[in-house]
This record gives sequence, C-alpha cells and structure tokens, in this order.
Amino acid sequence: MAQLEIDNLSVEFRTRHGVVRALDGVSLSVSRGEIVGVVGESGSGKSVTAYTVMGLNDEAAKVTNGAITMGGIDLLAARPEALRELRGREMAMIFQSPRTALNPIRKVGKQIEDVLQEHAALPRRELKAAAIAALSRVRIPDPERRAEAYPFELSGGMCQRVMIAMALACTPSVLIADEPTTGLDVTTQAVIMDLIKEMSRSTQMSTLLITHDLGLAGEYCDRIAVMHAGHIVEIAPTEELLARPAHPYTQRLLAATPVPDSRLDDLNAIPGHLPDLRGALPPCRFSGRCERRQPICDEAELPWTELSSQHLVRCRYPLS
Amino acid sequence: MAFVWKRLLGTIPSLVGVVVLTFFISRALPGDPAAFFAGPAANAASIASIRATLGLDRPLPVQFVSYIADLAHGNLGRSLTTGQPVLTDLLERLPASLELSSFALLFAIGIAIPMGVWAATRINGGVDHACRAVVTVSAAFPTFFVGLLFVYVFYFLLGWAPQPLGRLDEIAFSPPPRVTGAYTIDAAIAGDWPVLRASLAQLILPAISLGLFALAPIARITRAAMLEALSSDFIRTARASGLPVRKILMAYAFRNVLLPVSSVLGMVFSFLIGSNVLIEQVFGWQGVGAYAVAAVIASDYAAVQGFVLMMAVLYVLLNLLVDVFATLVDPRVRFEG
Repeated sequence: MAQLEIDNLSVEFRTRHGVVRALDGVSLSVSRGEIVGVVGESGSGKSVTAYTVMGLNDEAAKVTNGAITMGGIDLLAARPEALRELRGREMAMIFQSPRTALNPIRKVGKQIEDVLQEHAALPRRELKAAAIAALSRVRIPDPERRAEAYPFELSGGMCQRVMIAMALACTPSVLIADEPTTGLDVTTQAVIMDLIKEMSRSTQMSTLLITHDLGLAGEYCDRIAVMHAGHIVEIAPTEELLARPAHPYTQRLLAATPVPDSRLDDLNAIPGHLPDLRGALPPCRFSGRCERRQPICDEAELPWTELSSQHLVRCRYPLS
Repeated sequence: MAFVWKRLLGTIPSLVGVVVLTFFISRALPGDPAAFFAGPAANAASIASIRATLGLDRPLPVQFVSYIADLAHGNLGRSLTTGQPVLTDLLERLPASLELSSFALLFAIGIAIPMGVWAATRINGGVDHACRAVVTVSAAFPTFFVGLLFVYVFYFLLGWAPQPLGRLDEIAFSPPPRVTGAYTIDAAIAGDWPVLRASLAQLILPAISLGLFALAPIARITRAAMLEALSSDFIRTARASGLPVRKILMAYAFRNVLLPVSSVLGMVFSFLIGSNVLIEQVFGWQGVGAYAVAAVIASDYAAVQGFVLMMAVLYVLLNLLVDVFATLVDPRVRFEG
C-alpha cells in the first residue's frame, strides 16, 4: 500500500454564490521515496487537494466523498487534535513565496525550534542544536549564524531552504510542496528542486509536488497527474506522459510549455477557460474547450481508459 | 541608544514651533489679564499700573524675547490666579492627571485587547457582535456625558460611588506622604490601605468614563490587525507545522499585532491627557486639565503657555516611548539617522 492514498475524493465549497465543486473523484497515490507531480492551471484544484490532505482547508470546504489515508491512518476520520499532531511530524508542507510564509518577527532558528519542541521528544536545551542541525542538512552555509537571522535578512532562496529545513525537521513521511519555486529565480529554482529531490530520496519520503509548470514537473517527478477543473484527467509515469500524452488537455499543456529554441509564436495558448464549477457540469469538464468533442461526451458517464497499468486517462477518445 | 538621542534632537524644531505658537495664541485670547487681576473695583489708572508691573504694556516682540529668556532658565513665569510659579503648579497637579489617564488606559487595554483578539478568532460570533456594539456605543457618547451619567447613576441613584469631588474625601482621610504624587501609589508605598481604598473609590468613575472613550480605537485596531495576522501566510505555515492553537494565537499572531496596537496606544494616551480637561471638570479632579481651564478663563498667559508646552513635551516623550517599543517588538523597524 502506498504511503499516501487519496481515493475518489470530492470536495465542495459552500459559498455565498453557490456550491463550488472544487474536487470531483480525485484518486492519487504516492509511494515511499516517490515524487508525484500534480500539474494544472490556476483553479484546477491542485492546492485544494493538498490542503485537504493536510486538513488545512477553509471552513467553507466540505469533503463530500472519498478517503485519504497516510501510512494506514484515515486522515478524514482523524480528530482535529490528532491531525494537528501529525502535521509537522508525519506530513509537512512547504509553500510558495517563502519570505511571507515565515514569521517576519521571529528568528528563523526559533521557528524551527517551535516545530521541534512540539513534535520531537527533545529536552529543551537540545532544541537549538537540533534546529541548527536541520539548517545544515539543507546545506545552509554558516547555520549557527543564520539561525539568529530574521526572514527579512535572508534571500528568497535562503528562506525557502529554511522552510524546507523546518518541514523536514521531524523527518516526515509525506511532504507536500505547493509551488515551492514560484517567485525564485531560475538558478535558485534548480537548487531548491534538487534539494527537495535529494531529501525525498534519502529519507524515503513521499513527495507531492504541486505546480503549474509541466516542464518543472517533467524534470523532477516520477509520475505526473494532470488536473483540470477538479478532475484528474490523466496520470502516467513522467516519460510516458511527456512522450505520449493521451488527454487533449495534456497535449495542449505540453504545447503551451516553452522549450529551448522555441519562439513566442510557437507557444499555443489553450482556448477557453476553466468552466464555472457551480451548478450543473458535463461529465467531462474539458468538453467545452475540446476540439475532439463528440455529442456523447456531454451525455454518458466519463470512463477511465487504461492505456497501460500505469497510464490512465479520463477521456472517451484519447489521443494515440 | 543613539537613536533615542537622535529622536530627541529631532523634536527640537517642533518644540520651538510650539513655544512660538503658544505665546502668540495666548495673547490672542479674549480678555485682559490686567483687568481680571485688578478686580471689579479697579479704575483705569490701577489697571494700567498693574499692566505695567506685569510687563504687558511693552510691545509684543519685547515680551516674546523676555519670555524666551525666562524659558531658557527653566522659568515658566508666575501664575496670576494662584500666585505660584507655573512650573510648581504644573508639577504639583501633573501626577493627578497622569494617574487618572493611566488608570483609564489600563482599563481600556484590559478590556479592548482581549475583546479584539477574541472577536478576530470568531468572526461574527457573540464576542464579535458584542465588540462591535461596545465600540459603537463608546465612540458615540462624549466623555463628559458618560461622566455625568455615571455620577447620576452610581452616586445619586445607587449611592455606590463616593461624592465626585476630587481625588480623596479629605474630611475623612488625609493624603498619603507625597512620593510620586499619585495618591493610589503613594498610599500603597505608605502601606495606608484605607486611603488606598478611598482614593481608588474616587478614581473608578472618572477612570472608566475616560477609558470608555479610549476603548473603541484600541479594540477596533486589535481586531483588524489580528484578523490580518491570522489570514497571513506565516500563520498558515504555523498551522501546517502542527503548532498548538494557543501558540499560534499568542506567539505568532498576537506578537505581530503588538506593533500597530502600540502605535494606537501612544495616540490614544495623548488623546486621554487632552480629554482629561473635561473629565477633571466633571469630577472636581485637581489635575492639570482643570488648572488649564481656569487659566484660560482668567487669561493667565503664563499658566496657559506652561500647560501647552508641558503637553507638547509629554507628546514627544510618549511618541519616543512608542518608537522604542516598536524597535523592541519588530526587528524590521530600524531608525535611519
């Protein structure tokens, strides 16, 4: 059984303007030491998936169906207090814009100590040394001095390392990285991603990488799930997905991803936009933007097509 | 420490401005101090001779220069109404006003900050609605009206409060030996518990009516700043790290709220010292506010000038205190030279 299992998860948001069906039948699993990418445009449900796993969703969110288990623990049935104890110890999360994600008026070393104090069975006087050790694990130079720094005294890349050090301080078995490199420059991006990959391999941690950047996911993930409007539309091992995309949306995403030597004119924007997730929706939520759409796409239940045991696509007429 | 000195130097221009303005504005007050001082039976000759002894017959620029020269020697002049040096008068009455304002502020902080924090953690909950109601009511009623209402209800109708006639019922008690000038503190120092009790009893109504007025801005800023802090990214990180709710609220959110709240506190405290003028009248409180009102009515130039100058210095010190506090709370606050 995989370390993290999301099974047929549906989430709704009760808003003033109606019920938003943010996730519908999302299934995903991450094994030990594996990095799975969740890719999609803004509003596709990537982050809602992550927040639901962590139990950090807004109060307006309601899980209407499905199950999430981590190491055999049913996360959706767990009491809030039990869930809180798992967060930071067994499952951790890192965010985009690391500068604002850290407490601006607390020394970064102290913020790591806070996590250790809560979750690690360490005597008080060893907390500081443990925090410095966590900083040096993510190869922050001169960790003793950096531990005394405030976030505003560090660069964005350095702050993201601190975030990673904090997330990994208690060696969690699941790491969720929500757009961890957004807002960092390209070289720093590569360094941070290399670090995440290395940590996930060395501690056999299951990593869920949430990104809108298919290129980035292609470089670092073992498998990739493509999300569109609250559905996973395709999931496959990375090389397979990049070489033989089967869902029209995946294909369009690939065509919209810049590659070296491509010119701006070569990039194809995906026509239309995400459907309104309130009210009635067709079985295939991509049908409104799809060139291959047939009348039946809007009528019958949408099947999963199994191209191989690892490659699943949610389309009646997959590309071959 | 260097920045404290820099800040103090930086306030000199505004203090100079205050000195110039108060001199000319007090001269522009209606009324003639010589006539007031001479009394109802005076004739033109006696008024003129008094004017000459007070130095008020000289041209304004000459008066101004001698005022500045006196000021440079720490001499604020002599009050016409009390006959004492203004500085002595002010120093004698200032502790009473500070005592009243401080108790009012403590009352306001003690209620407003917990209420603001609680309201922010449960938006649209019971405490949030109560907070909104208290803020509206306390901001809507003028201080002196609340004071009069309290006197009517708690002294006249219910008889719970002592007579609203000053800081201590001096027929039953004698003031404690003067150390700080605040009766409550001095009584505590002297270990004179009946006097402490009696002076607290006198203090409660004016302090609460003054404090109610300070409560609204503090509660509102606390609630708003707390809401902003709670929805910020670093709180999300703290929750994702599984920190206990208590720690997230106090060590993470509230610590970040201290900065905006402290700057409001500085402002509110200055307002409080100002509104003392009204409350001191209502409760017969022998503070600087009542002194200033009497001085304005009597066209007592030296006393008015001294009062305004002292207020300006208090504001400056208060703002300095807020700035020092800000550097302690927030490492990002740095003072450029």
